[in-house]
Amino acid sequence: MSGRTYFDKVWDDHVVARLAGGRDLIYIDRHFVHELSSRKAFDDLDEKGRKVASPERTFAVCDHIVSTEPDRDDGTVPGGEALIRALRRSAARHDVSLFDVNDARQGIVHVVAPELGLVLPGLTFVCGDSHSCTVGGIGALGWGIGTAEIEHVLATQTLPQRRPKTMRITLEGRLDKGVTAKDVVLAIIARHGVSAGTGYAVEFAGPPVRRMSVEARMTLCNMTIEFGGRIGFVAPDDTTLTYVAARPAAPRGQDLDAAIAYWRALSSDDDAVFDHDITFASDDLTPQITIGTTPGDAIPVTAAVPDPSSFDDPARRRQLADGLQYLGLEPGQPVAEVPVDRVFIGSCANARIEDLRAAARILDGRKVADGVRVMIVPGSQPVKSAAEAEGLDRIFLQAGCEWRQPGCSMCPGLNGDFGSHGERVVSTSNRNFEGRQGKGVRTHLASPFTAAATAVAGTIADPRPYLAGSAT
Amino acid sequence: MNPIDKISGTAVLLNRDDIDTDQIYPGRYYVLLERFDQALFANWRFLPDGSPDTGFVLNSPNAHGARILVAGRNFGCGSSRENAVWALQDFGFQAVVAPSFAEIFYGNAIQKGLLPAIVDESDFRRLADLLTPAGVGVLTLDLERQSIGLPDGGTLGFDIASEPRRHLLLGLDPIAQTLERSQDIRSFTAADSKRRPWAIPTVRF
Repeated sequence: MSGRTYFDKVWDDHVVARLAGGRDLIYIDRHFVHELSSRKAFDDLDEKGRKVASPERTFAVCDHIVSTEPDRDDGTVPGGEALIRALRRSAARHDVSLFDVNDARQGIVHVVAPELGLVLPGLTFVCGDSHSCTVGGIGALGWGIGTAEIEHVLATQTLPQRRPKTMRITLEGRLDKGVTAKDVVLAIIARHGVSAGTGYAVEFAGPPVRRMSVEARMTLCNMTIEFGGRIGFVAPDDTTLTYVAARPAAPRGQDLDAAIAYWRALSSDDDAVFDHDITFASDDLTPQITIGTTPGDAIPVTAAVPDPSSFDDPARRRQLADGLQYLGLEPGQPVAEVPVDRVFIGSCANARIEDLRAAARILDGRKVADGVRVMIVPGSQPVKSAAEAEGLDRIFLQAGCEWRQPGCSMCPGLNGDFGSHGERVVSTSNRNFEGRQGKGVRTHLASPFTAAATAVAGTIADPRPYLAGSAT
Repeated sequence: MNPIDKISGTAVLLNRDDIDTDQIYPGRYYVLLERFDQALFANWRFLPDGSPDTGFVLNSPNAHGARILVAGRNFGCGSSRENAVWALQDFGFQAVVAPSFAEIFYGNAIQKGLLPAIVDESDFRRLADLLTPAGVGVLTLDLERQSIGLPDGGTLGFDIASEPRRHLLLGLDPIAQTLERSQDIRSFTAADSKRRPWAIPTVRF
């Protein structure tokens, strides 16, 4: 029998019972709920007279529909306040910790949970949000669930799950200056397709991943769901342990020592076999930008818009042709000359402190191009405070950007932060679906470097010339 | 949840791959508390002035009362919003037939009793041809036999894993089933609190 992978070890340690049909009843260490997907789950739980099984493992966050205005309260889009207040009532009724609209720890679920040390390596984490895979950046197994499953976890602290297959994506080589985890994952999805990871838990490995910060690993793992994988993770190493030890809710003293010993033993065995193994050479990678309406439509920012007829698969040809039409792009047109109306820097993909530092490096001493509106939305209040302590807010404001309150904001465009019909947006978020950032809005996904360079240029721009002379 | 056996009725073809849940249920409708069908494919069903786009298949008179949606690969990708399933069901759909589904949508469909039927690529093309150019036709799905009866009298098979199939056939309540295992859960947590004491949160906010 071959050895076990990191995933196998963590999964096996959470099996409460083996169920019929090859499923396992899995114990859930942490359950985060937000104001949109949990409302009906709490209502149904209450209607049946059930209680939250483990309130101490359940955390509620207001992030999706909250206003990002500087002086915000509950006010947001019509109907949104009711969702915020319903979450507040449910959290109080069930004795669940709540990070309310103006709490000092509030932010996007997937930024808040690891930043506070509420999720840890080797834990299972679920949330009614598909980007729960983000927490894989610290070596947790996180996955998104629907509302009926939220109710299931609230009532039982477990979920019946089919064990996913395992995939390893090994990065090789180096990342050039100006090329980030976001560019890596966009290029991986472009090469392998938006459903290549369906049915898999995906481990990211290899020297470039080992050199990444925990924040960058979260960006990488965040987009696992964009190629179909519910779970993506990086096995913990010294970088992870240093990050975790500094978190306010992380174990301390003997508990931390015991946890570290446990985490080290979870490493994949040398003879472990993955169901699918792929390698990705990152040496010649350039900054990426999407030019269609799926996250698989990335091309180098230096390239021309591809001709759909160059693809063999008729479905793919039609899809790209539809995408180009929606985005108002012509085959053969250099993407770097396309003018933009808005830039959004934020979301659970790219709103951690490192992302804001990247944007600031380009915006420092420069001005946003005339006619371009730039929203910068930190991922959490602690990220916002850290950025302000470093003076990043002043850099952004002097450049002509908006510096806003934490939340999901323009990524899903649910709180009123969205574009108007026909506007073109370069966004550091994770989804460029038709209409997501506003009906008729044209979204291009990119890294914070590329987004910031675009803000200055007024057209989609290669960030590398803006980084000349800086260290990385 | 009501048990499912046979589903017979009008099928509608949306011959696109990667139909994401932002299309099935645009986010601005999150504030709805009922009648989720208002949101279904709203960006495709309605013109900017709010009037129905008569060119979209769901607005065709032939699609009235549709029960089965036939769609391309990776149906339901993107957001985990279960509202996508609620909207399909409130509109009248009882099944979606596709070559593949995104996992979260698939799980949500099973939970709520919407049948996700997986067909081979070649069978999908045959179905799509039968439903083109009208975009609609009558199909009969038999969950017990895992078969699809076609308008031309032919039959196709579809895939569904054993446990989701049993769940739908019997209309089971997964939470009630898990609660029957409360003793297993208690045993697990007792052992786990010794094995991983550090994994129990000590901080409340």
